[in-house]
Amino acid sequence: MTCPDPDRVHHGVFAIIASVLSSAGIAWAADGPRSVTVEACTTCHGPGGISHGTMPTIAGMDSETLAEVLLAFRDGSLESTVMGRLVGPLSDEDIAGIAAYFAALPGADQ
Amino acid sequence: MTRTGLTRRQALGLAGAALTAPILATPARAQAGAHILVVGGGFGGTAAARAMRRIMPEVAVTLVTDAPTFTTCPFSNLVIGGLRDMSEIRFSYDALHNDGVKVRFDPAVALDPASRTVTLQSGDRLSYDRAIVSPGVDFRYEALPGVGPEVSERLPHAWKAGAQTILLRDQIRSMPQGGTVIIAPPDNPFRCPPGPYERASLIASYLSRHNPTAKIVIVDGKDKFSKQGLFMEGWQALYPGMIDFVPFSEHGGLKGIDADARRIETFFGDFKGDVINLIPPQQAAAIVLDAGLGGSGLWCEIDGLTFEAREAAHVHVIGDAAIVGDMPKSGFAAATQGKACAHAVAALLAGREPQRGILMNTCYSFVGPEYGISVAGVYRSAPDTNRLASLPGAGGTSAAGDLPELRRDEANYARGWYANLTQELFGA
Repeated sequence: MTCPDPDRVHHGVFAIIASVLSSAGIAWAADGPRSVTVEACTTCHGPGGISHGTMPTIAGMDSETLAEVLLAFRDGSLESTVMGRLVGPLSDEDIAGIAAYFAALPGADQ
Repeated sequence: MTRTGLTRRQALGLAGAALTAPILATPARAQAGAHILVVGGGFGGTAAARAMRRIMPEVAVTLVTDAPTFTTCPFSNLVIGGLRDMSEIRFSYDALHNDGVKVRFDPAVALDPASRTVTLQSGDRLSYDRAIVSPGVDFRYEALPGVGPEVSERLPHAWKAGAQTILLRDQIRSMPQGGTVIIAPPDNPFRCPPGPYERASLIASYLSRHNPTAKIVIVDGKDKFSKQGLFMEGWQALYPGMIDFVPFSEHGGLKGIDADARRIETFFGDFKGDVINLIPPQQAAAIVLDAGLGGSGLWCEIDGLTFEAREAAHVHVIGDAAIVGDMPKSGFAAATQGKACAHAVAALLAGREPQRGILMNTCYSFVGPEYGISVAGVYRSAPDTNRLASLPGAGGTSAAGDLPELRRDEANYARGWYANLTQELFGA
């Protein structure tokens, strides 16, 4: 198997984020293209992506930053307690969709 | 056991023969004013009811459960170990009322898939368009030698949190110095696979502070257990010599139980304790087995994309009562399934194909108050069978070895995990 160039992967993810964000109307209750998958995030990170405990709040995060972090967990360049064990099966499209979804949600201070 | 109700196949046959018109009429009615009946107010049912209202506010959702408060099994081992109070693991359903879920404290006693009704203890019958059933487990006392349910009054299971949790905690507190606690977990499958070993850990944490010469003996119904290497490593580090694990192959199984003498007999010898935590073997709760949803087995087979029971249409079973592919019987898994099931039901009501999304499970265990470990899994239903299968390249347990910072971090994350999970279920 050949390894994709990381820069090209990131560029691809951000292009997907841009296209997802351009479609308006993303909300916590909406039935978007990854509405089941994003529920997997909130069980630990808090309802609506707003944390009430140790895990970071992911709602309202910058989408590119969130995608960078998820990609780094996936390729192992960022150490973690558990995230590295969870993101392996996520595709570039999954990561872009998750990042765009939580970026569009109101954060804790909004 | 007598089984009643139609199988899915029978129901489909009937639909073809006589009920074509009403069934064809269902989708329109469903979208406009469908009634979703959720049975069970634990992790699965509560998550499903709230998600259902969030995703599809136009549907009516009723949740029926036993009591006005719910005590979580997760973190109940911290109560037994004297590290949390019962009031910190008990929750009301007020937030569900505020979401517009109609909550009834009237236990469901019978489910009839043919008439799409659920009968409550009061005698009331509720009809549904779709039922989401998360009833949990029942104990199989008949699988224990010579005892019935009354044995749990003296040898507590503490495997449904509440009065049993307090009973076990107080028995351990009043145990004589140098006494022995026996924990007797069942064979697989059962609710919360790492639970007995977290319990041994937190009892050891309590005893090391208050009764340091006491012992814990685990007389297990199996030879291996969840996160075994990590637990044993932690026991050696925190409580050397205090916890003794006796696998099934070394005792051969339970032969007799003397609750008065607090002694359990096995095929290869007796174990005498001052406290015995006897955790019976388990099965899906009677309401679903009595309705025929277990087929010839003790658990409900479901479709991993929709959670609809293999044996009955319009009934979705989630949580510990179901066989959900590779997912374990955990509260966290049940909550995850509850949300995914609500999305699937919403799609079916809207006449759309349910989404084949990713489900995750993360279970933390405390080995000590500041020593956490975890197991994780990632799942998706297989396109050909709809079985919820573990995805490769993910999951597994925390790293092994002398890693004090990681253990501290995971203890902190365990507390965050509980805070966010219970917030999602019961928080405003």
